[in-house]
Amino acid sequence: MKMNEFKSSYNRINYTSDLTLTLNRIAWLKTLNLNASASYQADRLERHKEVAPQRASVAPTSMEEGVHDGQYLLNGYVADYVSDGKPLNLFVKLRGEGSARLGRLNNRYKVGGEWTFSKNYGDGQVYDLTRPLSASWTTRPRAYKDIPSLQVLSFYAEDNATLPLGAHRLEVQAGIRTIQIPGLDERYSMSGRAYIDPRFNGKWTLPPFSLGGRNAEVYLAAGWGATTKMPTIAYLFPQVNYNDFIQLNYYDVQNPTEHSRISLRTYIDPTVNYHLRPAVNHKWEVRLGATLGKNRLTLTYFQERLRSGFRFSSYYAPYTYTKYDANEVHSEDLKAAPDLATLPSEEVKVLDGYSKVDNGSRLDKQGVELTLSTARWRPISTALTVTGAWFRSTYSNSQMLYQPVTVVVDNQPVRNRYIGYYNCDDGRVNEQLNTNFMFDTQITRWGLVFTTSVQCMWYVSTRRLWQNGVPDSYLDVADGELHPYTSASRQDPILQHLVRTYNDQLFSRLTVPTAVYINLKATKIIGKHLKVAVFANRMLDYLPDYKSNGLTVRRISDPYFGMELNFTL
Amino acid sequence: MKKLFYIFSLIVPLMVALNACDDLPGDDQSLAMIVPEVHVILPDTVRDGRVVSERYEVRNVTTGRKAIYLSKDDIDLSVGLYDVSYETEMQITTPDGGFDTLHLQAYEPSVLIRETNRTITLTAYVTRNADDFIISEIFFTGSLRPNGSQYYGDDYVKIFNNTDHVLYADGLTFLESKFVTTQKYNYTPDIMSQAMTVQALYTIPGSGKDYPVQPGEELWIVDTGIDHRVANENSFDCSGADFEWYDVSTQPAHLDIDGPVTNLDKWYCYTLSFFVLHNRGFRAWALARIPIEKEQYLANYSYTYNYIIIVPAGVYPMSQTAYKVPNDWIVDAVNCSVEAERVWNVTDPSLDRGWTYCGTMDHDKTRYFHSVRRKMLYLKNGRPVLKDTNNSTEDFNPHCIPSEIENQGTAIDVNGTPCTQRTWDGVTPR
Amino acid sequence: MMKMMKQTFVVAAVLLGALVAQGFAPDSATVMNRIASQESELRTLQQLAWQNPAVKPLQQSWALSSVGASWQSRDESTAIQAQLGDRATLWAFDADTHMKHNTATLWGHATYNNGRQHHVLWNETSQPELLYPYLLADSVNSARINVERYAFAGGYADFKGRIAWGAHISYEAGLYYRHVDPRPRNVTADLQVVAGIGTPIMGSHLAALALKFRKYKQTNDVAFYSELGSDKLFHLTGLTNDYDRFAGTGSSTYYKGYEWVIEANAQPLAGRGLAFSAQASRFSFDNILTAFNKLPMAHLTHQAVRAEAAWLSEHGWGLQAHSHLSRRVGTENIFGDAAASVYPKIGSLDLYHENRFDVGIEGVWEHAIGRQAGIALHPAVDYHHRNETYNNPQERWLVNDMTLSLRAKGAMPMGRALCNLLVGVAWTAPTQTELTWNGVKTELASLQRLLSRDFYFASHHHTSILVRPSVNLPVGKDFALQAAVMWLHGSYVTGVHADNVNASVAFIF
Repeated sequence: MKMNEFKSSYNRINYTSDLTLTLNRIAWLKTLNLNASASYQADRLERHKEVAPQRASVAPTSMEEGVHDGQYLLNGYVADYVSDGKPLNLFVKLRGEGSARLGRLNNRYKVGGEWTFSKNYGDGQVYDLTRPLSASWTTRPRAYKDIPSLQVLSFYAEDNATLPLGAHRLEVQAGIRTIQIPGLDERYSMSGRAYIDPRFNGKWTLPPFSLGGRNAEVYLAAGWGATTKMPTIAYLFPQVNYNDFIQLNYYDVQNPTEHSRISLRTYIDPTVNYHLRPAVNHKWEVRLGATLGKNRLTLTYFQERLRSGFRFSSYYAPYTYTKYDANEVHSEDLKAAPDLATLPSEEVKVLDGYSKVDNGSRLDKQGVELTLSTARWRPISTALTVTGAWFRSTYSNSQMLYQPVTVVVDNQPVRNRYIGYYNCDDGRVNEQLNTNFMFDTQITRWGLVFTTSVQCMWYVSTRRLWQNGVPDSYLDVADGELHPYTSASRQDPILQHLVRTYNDQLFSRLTVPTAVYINLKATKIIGKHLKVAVFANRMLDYLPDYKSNGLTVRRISDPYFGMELNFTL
Repeated sequence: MKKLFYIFSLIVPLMVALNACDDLPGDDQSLAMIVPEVHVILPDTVRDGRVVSERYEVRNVTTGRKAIYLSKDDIDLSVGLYDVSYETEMQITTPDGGFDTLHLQAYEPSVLIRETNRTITLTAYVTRNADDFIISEIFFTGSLRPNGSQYYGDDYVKIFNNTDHVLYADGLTFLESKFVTTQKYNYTPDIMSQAMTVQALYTIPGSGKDYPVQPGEELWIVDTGIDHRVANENSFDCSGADFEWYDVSTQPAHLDIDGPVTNLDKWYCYTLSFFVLHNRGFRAWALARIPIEKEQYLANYSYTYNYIIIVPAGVYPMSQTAYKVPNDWIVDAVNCSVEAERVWNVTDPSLDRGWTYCGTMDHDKTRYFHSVRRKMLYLKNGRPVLKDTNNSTEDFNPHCIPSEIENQGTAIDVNGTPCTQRTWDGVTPR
Repeated sequence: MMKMMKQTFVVAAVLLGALVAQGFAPDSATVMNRIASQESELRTLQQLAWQNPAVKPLQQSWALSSVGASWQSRDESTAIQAQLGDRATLWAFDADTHMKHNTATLWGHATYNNGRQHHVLWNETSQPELLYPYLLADSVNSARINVERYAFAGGYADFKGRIAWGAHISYEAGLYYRHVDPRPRNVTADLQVVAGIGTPIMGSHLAALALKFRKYKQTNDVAFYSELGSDKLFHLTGLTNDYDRFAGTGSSTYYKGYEWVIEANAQPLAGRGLAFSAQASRFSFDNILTAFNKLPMAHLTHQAVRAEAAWLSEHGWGLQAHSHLSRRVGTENIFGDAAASVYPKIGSLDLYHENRFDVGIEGVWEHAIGRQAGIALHPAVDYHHRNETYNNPQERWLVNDMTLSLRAKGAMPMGRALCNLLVGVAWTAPTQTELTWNGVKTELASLQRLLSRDFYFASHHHTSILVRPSVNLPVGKDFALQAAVMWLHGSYVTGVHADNVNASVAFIF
């Protein structure tokens, strides 16, 4: 039996405090609120595994650049692995609220600041590099405590002003927020810069009127704002990239463990992008709202634009190493592993790379949202809530990309010599329309509540943006430079493989038609303290078969059932 | 009350009298039988021949049952999907007035028979005989380490000279099919009737006369030509093989070992790491003689095809590029699969009409330490003559103990039980 | 997660039972009298009428609720039906209530079961009695299956003017799994909704009509964790046949079914006189293979007609006649080319038929001695006919048999407690049997052997004895404790015997 055991432990301690001061003496400041929290966690995972490599593989063991010997993993061995994490998170938030009257303008304002701190003090992955958990690992361990800490500091101020204009009412909310990462190394372009997010919302309520004997009111609202998202630790402080190349792969048939030799050339590249910027999302929306008696309706249209989203892009460059030829080595003559200096060799150059995070993602989103909630209809004690939305999102990237091909020609992978640089959108347009109906029946006499919700996903469609399979230019290993890809390149026996082909139907719109699910829930309120609920979801459904590209696709849904018990003391 | 009581006493016998109409198996469920129209398209060379005998074998894909008919008028089938196989002997007159008997075959898989679709079209071809090497054994399942995990590197293929004269192995190419026999897609363009789509081509090197093989002798081509017992005591010694395939990989995670055995010339392989035969046996393997130079072949014989994948996540139109080898260049092909998963053959029926296997289902526990071996017909001068009718179902013994394990007496199961039997073809004892 | 649900359930049921009385007045009759009325043997004569919620208020005029726990076990020395296993144990926790308020009646039921099934052979599907013959099966004799079931039901009926109406909803969820290869993970879901409406006719009876809709789903997923591989799974299609094309694949299957039932009743308002109920139902489901573009491998339709007529006299006796007729037709679908795993449906074949016919007559004679004591006799005669056929290859299973049974119950107060003893004896003898096998695949040979053994037990006579003593102990005027033990012993031919034991305690109020 193979040994495979692991033990995982997780301990967390957390402190949270909330302090509110109500000030009666100061006219312009009503309350002061201080939130603080600190959490510390100790995670430890230990694993002992008997590893049997399916094929001979090599464990790279050096943590430095240059030429080193590797080790063949031939027979089984026992791997001991520990993953140790000690994350510490601190959070402090200070907020002040007040109100003041300026003529007919009634203002309520807030001012505040927030600071967060994260750092992991753990040792990370700890294991013997010659005995990895998996025979095909090529990564190196990285201690978590070597990763710098991340602090995010933000300040904000917001004012809510209400102005009555006769029977109309105007409400304006204006705010501003600054966000920055203090303590960042000055090589980063983000170091020492504060980013500003403005926000504005306005709501104009028309005078109330009477319709069919009930009170009615209509309002119009509009808003606009920007949100800055800071990059995470993984984006700011990525691990360096280790690239190993095999210079000699000699397996000795007579004495495999002692006379075999693997020689590796290791390159270490930093993958940090000092020019990384935060991602900024702009959004604006208009909304129409109306109430009639106890019925409420809102209709919203919005648009969002994100141009600087984070994405990983690959970067390639030529790497050189010496390739040794062991064909002339006769294992019977060997007394020790072969000496590199005695073997015939040639200098080899290949293209290889790593990925770096960049601000290359684009997301444009627009949509219409609807909510309607009705009053309770007496005869069956049921109120209806309808929420619906239509979204269209376009994902794409705003950069050119390197994309290697996997073809092997004449014993050599094409990607070692040439890699194309494509002007491809790598994007898609997703669209969906859905409506949810929720019927809420309350029979207060017996303390019973029945909730029936009907989820209708009218359609979901997706379309890939057309991609040009022909590269704009290509990277040549001979000089490490980009060359334009011409029609002559298309005739070249190797360069011809850089043209990627796509099935034409890939770019047509794929639509999944209507899917309707019905969920049932029954709740019983017992006394003042107890609520028991039983729900059965997706038991009733309507999922018709549909045709896509001429093929019939069938659908089914799995039902699930659950119970809830709520105690209130 | 009394009235009600009388009503009650009437109801009771009424209910007892209700007797169900009983079913006997077979009655009133007459499975509607359809008499299909069968068209046999004969090649031009035998148009004016006379049919001596014919034989239709129809396999119902849904139930797995086979029926044999000796005349097309006898065939009647219920609604379903069928694999139809046809054999005939025809007599044609030769130009000099004599008579010649020709053996023709046809095979049409996945024929749909229903009320609106009653035609079966069979394209017959004369049985091929390439007069060249044939594959006599494929060991793809690999062995197991004593602790039960899979081991790779000892898979091999044996090539046999079944003719009566010397053959030269120089330039013979070993191919693995790109498509798997367990998943079928509608490929556009569908070139299977003209060429085989491949994902690996390894050629025996040589100038033309460097590697002669006598009649009844074989060549042993192995993945890695080392003594595998060092790494896995249940395996065997492959350092005595004639050829091995070696892949150069620059990534240390996936390495191939270059043993002392002569390397095959790698024309193309899909993988960036190392090549192994499909461990569960879901592909077809073939031998071909490619008459043109490697560079010319690689430049001109790749093609692009489209197909559509449907998975629960959605419908995905796909496009891929692969190499093709025209059927005329192929000298032998063997389709392998497992019964529970098989949906089609990935070569033209004229190359191989049947299929063979190790194990009967996907992830079959019993498949390890087994290979497929070609049947022996008889011994001639102490050397075997093997069966080759281009029908792997008939030509191969499935699920046998590999010949190298027999020759070396190494393990036949995970416990290391040594092999004590010796056979010519997995079944016939020596 | 399951443990949380179980604990939630237990607490909820206890509190539900104890506190649901808000709005409903407790019954004025003492609890012991209500228990005595509940245990009357005459009440067991009718079963069909109470499925109509508009008629259910007439089942009893008193309110009674109970919360209890029970343990059941079934042990057969050799499995009588191999696909159901030879041993099963089950723990159950139940809460039941039937309340009255003016003209309204409210009833509810909640159950939690947790048990084990042992030596289930050639069957990885749960609730096979509902889904036969389309079961997922393999030849491995494996470890026990764990069973967990939750069931909830509730109904309400009322009288308004001349209209009586009622509605009932129930949901049952089940989880069946095993921790050893082959590992099935079956989830069942069963939702039933009934609505009934009635009006008094002829001054003495309530004529009512009910409509029921039922939706049933089951998902099966069989996984093999062994590194070396898996065992072969078969999709059984009736008797010893399977769907050959997908044998060895399709380890995920899905059952989706629904049922429509219509029922008509004539029930005496006073509880004495002629009562008649008739019910027609149609249940159909698809057996779907999830991995192959959800193809509907087989379709089954089960149509049934039931009728029950009873005469209940004022003098403590009653007569009942019942009959049940059903026809089960299984259709296998044929699929075309496997390209892109689409498997378009190209046709269907009608291959499996099962006809059943049951008819029987029962009578009850009850004599009360004092307020709580009494004796009752309950003889019954039944005739069953079951004919199962498979068309191609032609196979047949036919068993007709006759059962005679007699139950006797005695109730006697002992001090403050009320003790009951129920004994019964039944004898079943076949009148006509036939078994034909044809062209069985070698891989299914052991299935054929087991089915032949099942037939052997079904086609020979067997007897059974039932003993059930129970004790009801009052706790104050409004509460009582009940403890009961039941032992049912069946003797089959060649010395095979089956023992069913059920021990329960309940708190009644």
